[in-house]
Amino acid sequence: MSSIGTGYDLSVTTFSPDGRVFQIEYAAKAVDNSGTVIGIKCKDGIVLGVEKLIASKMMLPGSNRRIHSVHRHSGMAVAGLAADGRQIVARTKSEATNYDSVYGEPIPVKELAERVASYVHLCTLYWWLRPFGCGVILGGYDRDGPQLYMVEPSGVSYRYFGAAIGKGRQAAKTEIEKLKLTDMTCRQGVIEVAKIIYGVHDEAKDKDFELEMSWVCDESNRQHQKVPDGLLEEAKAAAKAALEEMDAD
Amino acid sequence: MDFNAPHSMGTTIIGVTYNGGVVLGADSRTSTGVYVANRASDKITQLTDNVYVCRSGSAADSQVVSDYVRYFLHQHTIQLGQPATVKVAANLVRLLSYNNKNFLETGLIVGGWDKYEGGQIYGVPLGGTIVQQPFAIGGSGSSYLYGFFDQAWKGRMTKDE
Repeated sequence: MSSIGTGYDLSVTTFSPDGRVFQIEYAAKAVDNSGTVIGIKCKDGIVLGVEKLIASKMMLPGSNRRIHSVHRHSGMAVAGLAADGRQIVARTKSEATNYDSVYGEPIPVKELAERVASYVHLCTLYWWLRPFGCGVILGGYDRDGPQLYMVEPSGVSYRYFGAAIGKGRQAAKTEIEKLKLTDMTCRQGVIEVAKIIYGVHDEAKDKDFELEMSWVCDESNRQHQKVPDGLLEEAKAAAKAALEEMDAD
Repeated sequence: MDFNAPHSMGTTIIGVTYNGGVVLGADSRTSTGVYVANRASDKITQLTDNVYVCRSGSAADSQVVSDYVRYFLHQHTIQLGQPATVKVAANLVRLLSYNNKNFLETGLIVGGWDKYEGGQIYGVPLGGTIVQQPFAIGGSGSSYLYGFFDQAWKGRMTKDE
């Protein structure tokens, strides 16, 4: 479904005759080619999961983290160009701590999402800056409950029950839609996320991957943290078992 | 008589929580030395629809701090899309008090109601500390009240009490 810009795609400050900004669309393609990232909002919190494609067997497991805590109560999973993602995470952390110092309370997730979106959008306004080549899923638990936001390279940010970006997003979204999220606890959610990520991983096209997951929920005391090792192993086992069941059919 | 003495408020201000929210009270005398400059001053000032502040100490300093905080809170409310919490209001007051402590002389009591924590009272005395309390008293007239409150205060009173 690619279209050629031919002349209207050289700069992010140029509109095409049909009203598109091609540079932003190309930035989104960088996100589409990265490993799948999903987030779901369960009734007691948020679960984030990343299909971290391993570039080389020499890499240490657990390195190159794709999920970052941006404040005590919220975390962000990044898809797309890793270096761009690092910049966004740094800015988000800074916004969160700055808000806390001025207003004396943890930044509401809605406000944080708006600030991230503003920042990403900023880089689409000037010809001497390029758009960020990454999308982020931001999940947090504040006094209004758990919330999930996704920010795209264009700078739009929406609130979601379930979101997916990256290679396997179409398949992931279908799977997420099948889940009954309002009845699900985060404990169950972790298992489901693992199943989905294992399910959308394409064995033929890509090499190995490492599953990275995090949550913010009542069980984790409303703090954003990595999913505990025990539960993570349980999730991986359940996911592999589900895969085998599918292959057996 | 020294008409050039700074207007000080020689005040008593009180804020208490009760089972439905908060009640704030203040006297109405502003004095310049021994002369009463204003016998009907309003020492309880509105910051937002749901947060008020009792002012004591220098009249000018407390008015300027209130004005700045009202301005910041207004912008904050617009950005957040919902009313500011009492804690945020109190925090803004204390940031101004603390960061300008060498220039200001004002003790404030911030009181209000928000949907998350209900009625709250925060004392922000001279140095810029912030303390959440079930009740707070301030101003030069408050020294006579410490004993009374110690003996008579109880939590969760009704509005009439």
